[in-house]
This record gives sequence, C-alpha cells and structure tokens, in this order.
Amino acid sequence: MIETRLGEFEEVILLLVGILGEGAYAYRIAEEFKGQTGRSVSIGATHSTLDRLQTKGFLKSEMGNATAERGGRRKRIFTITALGKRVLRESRDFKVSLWEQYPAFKVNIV
Amino acid sequence: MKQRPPAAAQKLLQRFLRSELAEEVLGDLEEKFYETNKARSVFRARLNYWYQVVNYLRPFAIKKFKTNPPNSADMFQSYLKIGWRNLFRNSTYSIINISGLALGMAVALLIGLWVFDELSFNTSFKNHSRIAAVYHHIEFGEDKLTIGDVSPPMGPELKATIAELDEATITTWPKEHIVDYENAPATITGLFVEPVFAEIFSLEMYAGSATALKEIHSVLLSQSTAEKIIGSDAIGKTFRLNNRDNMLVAGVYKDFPANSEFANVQMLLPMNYYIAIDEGTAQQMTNWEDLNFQCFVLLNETASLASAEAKMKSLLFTMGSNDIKAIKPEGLLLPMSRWHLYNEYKNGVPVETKANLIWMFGMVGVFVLLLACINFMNLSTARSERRAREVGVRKVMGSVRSQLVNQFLSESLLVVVAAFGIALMLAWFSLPWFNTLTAKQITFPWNNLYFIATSILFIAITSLLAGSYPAFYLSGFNPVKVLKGTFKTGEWIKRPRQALVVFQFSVSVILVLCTGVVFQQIQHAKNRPVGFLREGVFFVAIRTHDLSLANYNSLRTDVLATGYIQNMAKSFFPITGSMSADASLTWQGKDPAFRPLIALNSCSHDFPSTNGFEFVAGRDFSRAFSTDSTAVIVNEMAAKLFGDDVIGKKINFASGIEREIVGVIKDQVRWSPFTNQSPHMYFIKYEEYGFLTFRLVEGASVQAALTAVKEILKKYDQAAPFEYKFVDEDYGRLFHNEERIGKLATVFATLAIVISGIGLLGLSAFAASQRTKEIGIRKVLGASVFQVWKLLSQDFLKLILLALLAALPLGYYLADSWLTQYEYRTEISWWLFAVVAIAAVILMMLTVSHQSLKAANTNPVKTLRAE
Repeated sequence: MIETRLGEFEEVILLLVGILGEGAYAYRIAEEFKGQTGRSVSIGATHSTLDRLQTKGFLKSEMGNATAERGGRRKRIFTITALGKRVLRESRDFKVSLWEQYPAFKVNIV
Repeated sequence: MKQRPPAAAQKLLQRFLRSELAEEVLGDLEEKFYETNKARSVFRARLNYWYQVVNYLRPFAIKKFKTNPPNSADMFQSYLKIGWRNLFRNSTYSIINISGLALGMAVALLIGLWVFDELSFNTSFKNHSRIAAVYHHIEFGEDKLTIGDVSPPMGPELKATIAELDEATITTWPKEHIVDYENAPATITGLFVEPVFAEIFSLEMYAGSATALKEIHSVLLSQSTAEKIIGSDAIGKTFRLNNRDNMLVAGVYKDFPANSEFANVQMLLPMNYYIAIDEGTAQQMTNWEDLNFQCFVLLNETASLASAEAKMKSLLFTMGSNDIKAIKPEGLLLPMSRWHLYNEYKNGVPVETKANLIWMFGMVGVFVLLLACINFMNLSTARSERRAREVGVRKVMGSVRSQLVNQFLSESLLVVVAAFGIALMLAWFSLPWFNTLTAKQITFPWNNLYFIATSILFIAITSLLAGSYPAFYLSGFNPVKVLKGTFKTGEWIKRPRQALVVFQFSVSVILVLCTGVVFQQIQHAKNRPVGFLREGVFFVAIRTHDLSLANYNSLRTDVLATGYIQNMAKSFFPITGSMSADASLTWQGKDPAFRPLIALNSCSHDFPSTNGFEFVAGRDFSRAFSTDSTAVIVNEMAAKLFGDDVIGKKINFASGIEREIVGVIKDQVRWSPFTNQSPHMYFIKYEEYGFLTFRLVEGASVQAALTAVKEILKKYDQAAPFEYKFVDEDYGRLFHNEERIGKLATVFATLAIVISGIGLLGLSAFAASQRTKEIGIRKVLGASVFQVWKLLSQDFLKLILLALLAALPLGYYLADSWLTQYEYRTEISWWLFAVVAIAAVILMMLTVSHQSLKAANTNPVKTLRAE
C-alpha cells in the first residue's frame, strides 16, 4: 500500500523540487535545504526522501545531462507530478483552514 | 593538483550501493566534494565525503543481495522419499543389505565395547597414573620368574628411602574369610590393608569413615556386601570373623568398579588386626624373607617412574639374607596402566598374551564390519546400473551433478542409519549374553560423548564409502547414451567387486580355520593325562578356627562311617590349587649352584590314595611305617632332578628336617593344562588349616554324601559354612579362558560366514536377474537346467577357489602363531583345513545355486515376454 500522507520534511523537499525546477537533483536539493532552513542534511537522507516521494507517486525523475565537476556523470533530475502538486495544495489548504479556525490569529490573517 | 575524493570511501560505496544508483550518487557526492574543497579544505571535503557515504547506508540504496533460496531442504526430503520407495521396491535387496550391515555393526559394537572396557581397566582410580605395584624378577637355576610378592618391611622402607614416592603401602593378597552375622555364615573375599590404602586408591565412602582402618577390630565392607549380609544399616553392627574374633563394621565403601583391580574385594580389614592375630603374623612384619604380601606405591606428581625404579631395584637383594640373595631379586615398578594386560613376564621379558588377545578380537571386529560394508558396497554398485536410467532422466530434467551426488549419498545415509538403529538394538539385547560369555559387566554407554561421536563418525564414513560409487560414478553418465540404451557399465567396474568378494570370503574362511584350531587346542589340552582322579572327588576348605583344630583321625573315622565316603585326606593345598615352591632343598650329590624350584604340598597319609595318584615306582604313604611321618612322594620330573634310583634317597628341607623319598608318581597337571609342568613333591605334615578332600564310594548318591559330610563337619564346627568343590569342575575352570576364546571365535566366525553368505546371495541374485533374457534365449535354444546353472555358478566358484587359495596358508600362519603362546600345544591337522575348505565350497555353492537354479527353472516365455 502506498502511503499518501506527507511528512514535514517530505513537504519541504517536495516544495524545494518545485522551486529548483530543472536543477532539482539530490545534491542541489540538499544544498538548497540548508540554504533555506539553515539546517544541514546529508545527501543520502535527501535522496532517501526523494526516492520515497517517487514511490508514492509525488515525484518522477529522469537522468539529466553530465557536467565536468561530477566526473562526467549524469544527474537524476526530479520533477513534481500532478499528484504531487495536488497533495501540496491540499496540504496548504488544510493548514489554512486550520489557521482560520484558530480565533487568536483570525484577525491577523486577513 | 586536483584533489580527488577518498578512494576507499568510493570503493565502499560501490560495494553496497545498488548499481542503478551508482552514477547519480557518485556524481552528487563528487560535486559536493569539490564544492567543499573549494569553500573550505580538502580535509573537510574528505571527511564530508565519508559522512555522505555512510549516510547512504539506507535500505533504499543498499544492494539487494541475491538470496534466491535454493530449495535444498525440499530436495533432501525428496531424496529421502525416493530412497524410501527404492528400499521397498527392492525389498529383498534391502533386507539383505540392511540386515548384513546391521549384523556387522552389532558385532563391531560389542567388540568395541569390550575392547574399550579392557583398555579402560583401572582408570577409575583418581591416582591411576601415579600408582605402581612392586614386582621382582627372581632367578631359579635356568628360570627367571617375575612375581608381585614382597615382604612386609618393603613398604615402610620404600617410603622412608625413596623421595620420588609419596606413599608406599603393603597389603595381603585377597583371601576368603568366613563372615558370620547372626548365625548366617558367608564367604567374603577380604584384603588386609594399611590406613593409607584408602587414600592411594581414592576409596569412596558410602557411610562411616575410612579412618577405621587404623583400629584393630574394625572393618570396611563394600556397599553390595554390606547390603547382602547385614542390610541397609550396617554401620555399628558386629559380626564374627572366621569364628575367631568379633569385628565392628565401621564403614561402607562404594564397590570398586567391575573393571578394576579390586573388583572382587568385598571387605577391607586393618593390617593392625592381621598383626594382632598371633605371634607369627606379628613377626612377619619385620621379616624380609617372607614374600607373602603385595606392595603398592604412589608416585610423586613430578617424579618419574624410572628414577624411582632405579632406586628400589636392588633393595630386596640388599636387605635379604643369603637365601634371598641366592634368587637374585631385581625390583621393578609396574605402573597401574600395565596391571591388567601387561603383568605377565617370561624370563624377565613381558609377554603380551592378554593384550594380543584384545587386539586380535579388535581386528576381528574391524574385519567383520568391513565384510558387512563390502556387502553393502557391492550390492549398491551392482544395483546402481539399474538406476542409470533414473540418473539420465534426472539429468535431462535439469539436475545438477552435485544434486545427484547428494541424492545417492543421502540414500546411502538412510540405509546406514536404519542399519545402525537395528545394530544398536541387536547389541543392546545381546549385551547380557555377551557379558556372560566374556565374564564382564559392560553397560551401554548411552551418554558417553566418545561413544556418540564415534557412532556418528562411523555412520558418516560407512555411508560415504558405500554411497560413493553410485554417487560419483553414476552421476557422471552421459544422459543421451544412458537413455538411448547404448550404455553399459564396463568390465573394469566388476573387478573391484570380485576382489571384494574374494577378500570377504578369505576373511571368513580364516576366521573359521582359526576357530577350528582353538577348539582343537582345547580338546588337546583336555585329553592331556592329569595323573589324578577327577570324578567323584570333592574338597572343602578349612577356614574356621574350630574346624582347623578338629582331630584329623576322629574326623576321618566319622566321615568314613557314613558309608558314602571311600577315603578322606587333608592337605595344605587342594589337588587343583596352587602349591608353594622352594629352591632351598638339598640332597646328596647336588651341585650347590643348581637350585631348581620345586613345588610342594604338605598332606596327610591318605592324600595320594584319596586322589588316585598313579605310582611308577615305590609305594604310597603308609601308617604301617612309622618313618613315613618324614616321607615324601615326588613326581617323575622331580625324580629326574635327584638322579637315578631315587627311592630311599634323602632330601633335606631348609627347616632342617631330612625326608626320604618313598614313591614316584606320574607327572600331574598341577598348573595350567596348557603349560609345561614342574617338578613337585608331596610330604607328610598335618597342618591346621588347609583343605579336606573326600572321595565318594563308587555309585553312592552324591546328594546323600554331601549331606552326610555336612552334618559331620557341623559337629566339629558350628560356624563353618559347607562350601565344596568337585575336582572335575574345579579342573574345568582352567579351561575357562580358552573356552571363552573358542566361544567368542565361534560366534564371530559364524557371523562372518553369514554376512559373506548374505553378500553372495545378493550378488548371485543380481547376476541372475541381469541375465534373465539371456537365460530365456538359451533355454529356448535348448540349454538344459544344468548348463544354465553352470553358466551362472562358475564365475562364483572361481572366486571362491581363489579365496581359499589365499585363506588357507594365511589361516595356517595365523593359527600357528596363536599356538606358539602355549607350551603344550596341538599340531594343526591338515584334515581341519580340508574339512573347512570343502564345507566352505559346498556352503557357498548352495547359496549361489539357490539363485542359479531359480533362474534356470524360470519359464523362458515369462522372461522373454516382458519388456
């Protein structure tokens, strides 16, 4: 059974894939994560999450072009699938709906 | 210079990383490496590379190691199933196979247990590696004897003077005593020992304490003896010993194991009591001349036996008087490991008769087992041709060679395990019988690790041997040839099979031959003229005080008055017992250097007539001559020593008494009937203790006579138990060892023959079945039954003759070398060989013919129709 719920780290990675677009491969994503959050993460951990997201159907990937600084090796470029986008949106909407139900923040949100 | 990522880390990564991820991951990591290198340092870059590699140790990235599980367990199950079915499909072969193997294994098991028991003799003592017994080589004229008898001062002297010894102690020899508890006298074998005996021989107390050996009137009983004569609570009870003194049971020790030196010792008595018996025994303790004791030493843990031996070698010679010096005693220490099998010497050289016997039967066991294994191999190789097709089909279906090997090996394992199970049962059931035969108390060592390990090893080896031919040979067949039917096992594969049959048959014939010779030898010794009467004579030991003091003449008159007893005599040793020996006799004209050992027995006037001695010269003792109180009767061998015309010759005893020879008797068998006899003489002396010999009136009722004698002895001593031995039975005891060998050999030879017969039966049945078609065609073309029989039997006849050719000379050689250990031995007669050879041929031809005739008489229509 494929798990469809999205964890926090997964959600961030998914978003980063979307942000990076054509340049979304494991190393770059890990670097971006550090840049955006200030938390460092290993490439392996990132890759593992990417792999999981792909298994869940939120991401798809294909081999991209090679560059010299990688010893002539190709990179795997990840892109968000339609399902991935929908899940991200649903996740945002759900949270927003929760925010709206919270009286203390109601005023500020508008 | 361009920095590169650490190669070891890269290698590690490639080791575990799934290959499809390799490119992207290596690329990512390298990019990271250069980035870090540029931004920070090469060290940080490398460290980080390692960190990244380790972080790839995640389930998603790790190679799935191919575990494509081989279904070997299932296959094994299938092999067993097929093997099981094969067993039932060829039930005749299977029965032959398994029963033959089981028989052989059972024999090997029993013999193995026996050999183990013999070799582990005396190992139950905690100090067994440090204990030794004192022996001496002594010289009598030409003869050199080796004796375990020492004089009592030897013990203290050894302990005081030889640093290598922790302990040294003397004991008496085991002797029967009368133990009378609540008026129920019983005969108990006892040993007088010093207190330290318990320590040296690690005596295990069941109740009470071994310190009682320091007292005078205290004894220790073995557990079983205490149970038998007193009951469960023996401690503190008193009994009367030899109708003389009251003794207190101060301790009960655990019985010595059956395979130990003191197995028959039922009671330990304090040496202090022995000393206190009378003045004579007290004086013995300081007398270096009195060689009537045993001496045991406990070696220091670090000392060597040889150095201790060197120091005690001349001790007896130094301490002894001239009489002792004359026999030139040379001491030796016999370690405990040699007591049981290597304690006999001849002319100062160890004779290994007993040990050889053990090895001989050990070899027989190995050979019988080998015979059974050969059967098993022969039958499986013979049958394997039939399975060639199965192998072909299996190969076509994709079976790998190793699987076929496994299949055949597991089948053979199945059969061997089944046979071993049956063998265990056979051995277990026949163990009581085997114990009676070997006079042993062997128990099955179910929980002995060695036994289990040996069994497993044995199963493994046998199944490997028997299964190896089909396993490795058949599995190499070319399936195309086999299935096309052009396959035929070569002639060369028959050769080893035939060689094995010849070997097997030779071994059986040799065993039968040797058994025959054993019986011939026993019969030869039994036919030896003994020189005294054996029928209708019995004797009773005098062991109690009152009986020893009884008046000889009135006792004799009373006994003769019963009308059942023709004559009665008293002697120091019974006619079948041992004798004392003396080398100090002198006579006129004797060369002083000549000191022959002459065996002596003192007796009453009536001893020769009661025992029916046969005189060749002179006369019997007679009360009519008052001078006969110093008369002697000698045997022919002794007469030869004294010179011609010995009647009337005077013999001087060391005690100063001069005795006259009045008669010469025929040489008697007084030692083992298998050895040369020695000079001996009988002299008149009425001792207190000794034996009473009774000769029945011819035709008298034995039972009535025994009752009458018992009544009379009761009259003289209430406490004396009536225990009698008939001379013929007691003499028969001398044959026990040889008869035991004979019986064992018979059993093993029979089994060997049966096993080879079984093998031959199986092979001939197989040969016949292989040629069914050929026989059918021959018969159709007019062959007679005889011709077919000849065709099938002649191959086997050739093998049998070949085997005989090998077995007869070898059997002769072995039997002859066995006989050389006996001084009085039979000639091996040629007819024995002829009978065995003819019998063997007939027996084997009958076995083979059974199958040949069955094949020859089959209706050819039946055999030719079936395809």
